[in-house]
Amino acid sequence: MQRRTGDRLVLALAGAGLLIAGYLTLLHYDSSVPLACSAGSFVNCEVVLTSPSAMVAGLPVAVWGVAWFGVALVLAAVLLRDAATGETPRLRTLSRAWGAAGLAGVLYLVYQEVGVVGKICAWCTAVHVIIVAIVVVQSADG
Amino acid sequence: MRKIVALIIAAVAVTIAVGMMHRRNAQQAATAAAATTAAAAQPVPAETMGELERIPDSAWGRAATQAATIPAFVGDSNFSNGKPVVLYIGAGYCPYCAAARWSMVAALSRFGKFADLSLGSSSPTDVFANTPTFSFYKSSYTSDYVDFQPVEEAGELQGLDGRYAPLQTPTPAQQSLLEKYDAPPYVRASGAGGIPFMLVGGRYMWSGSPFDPGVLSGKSQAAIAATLASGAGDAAQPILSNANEMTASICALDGGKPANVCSSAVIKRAIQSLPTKSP
Repeated sequence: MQRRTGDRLVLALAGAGLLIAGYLTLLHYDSSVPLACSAGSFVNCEVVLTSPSAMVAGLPVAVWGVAWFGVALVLAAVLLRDAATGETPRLRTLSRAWGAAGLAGVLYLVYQEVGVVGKICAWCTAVHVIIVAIVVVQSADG
Repeated sequence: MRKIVALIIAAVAVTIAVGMMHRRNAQQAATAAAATTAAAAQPVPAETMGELERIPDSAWGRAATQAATIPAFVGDSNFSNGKPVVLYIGAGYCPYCAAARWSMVAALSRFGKFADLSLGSSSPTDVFANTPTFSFYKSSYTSDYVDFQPVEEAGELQGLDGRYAPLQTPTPAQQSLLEKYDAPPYVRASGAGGIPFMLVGGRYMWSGSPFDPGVLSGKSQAAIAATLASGAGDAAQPILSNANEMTASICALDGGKPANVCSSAVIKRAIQSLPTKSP
């Protein structure tokens, strides 16, 4: 895969992830925002998002998601801009390390959902899939 | 790239497998904790029970309904063998349920008799920690006028996984009533599905705390019960006011029986002020 294509894909994926994480953050702080998610016995966003597992270091996981996608978005945008003028290996390494950190976060949160809360949040799963896709794209472009 | 994808899939699969094992172990631990808690439950002392069962008319009259939470009119009908069903869904950890139980025990003791009621307190780690109360879990209630159906969904202690030990599950019919009426327009959207939930005869519904659990804080069940005879005080007044309101809702549905309870001036006034329209 061409690096520019890969960076564009990462940019688009990070943008989508930022939107979802932003929505989940709004849900946390504004009770009037409707939760568009199943409330079933296994897929149940409300149970997951209001569980103790939805808070990390005193902040909602959604806020960490906004921060992670925000940084991923900026890194991809800078890489895309600099691709025309020359390679930036340090920035690319940083971008991959950021992806790996995101992947570690995904594994932790999947464990929390399955092992602790016992329910899955569809929106969170969408975010996890996006982070995994970003890591795959980053690994595919060289 | 294939290698990376395979590695990620393997990592996610291992995470899910470990998570499921942890979940199964935590559930077993929670069930054991619930059994231990239930076995350690202390029965309500006879003296305290007597004070709840023999609240004088003067105390009921003094408390009236001035500190009562008015139920929502939902207009359904739920009777069993001709008796209005009083459905309660709550949990041991919940401090608002702890407050509600005081009024419920006082009100229902006017229509029948509890047996095997145990002492309880709300979660030590939630708001209004350790609010003194009772537990309906494993208790029984006999009455000629009311069919009381309590459901204590969980205990007051958290397991290793941070979840409260499960105790009882509502029947599908009870769950259906909870989902139908503990929801807008009867309650605010943000409070939908909240506990305690109490539904009298399918018609009058309370959702949430009938009064501030803070008034019970730091007191023993015996000390609180001892104040009920006067009907005055920061705990007795809201307990009895809400019990009068609950009593009125039952009297409005069971044909006004027993007469010595339902024909009192306070209850007659409360019946007249019960809501007659859905919000």
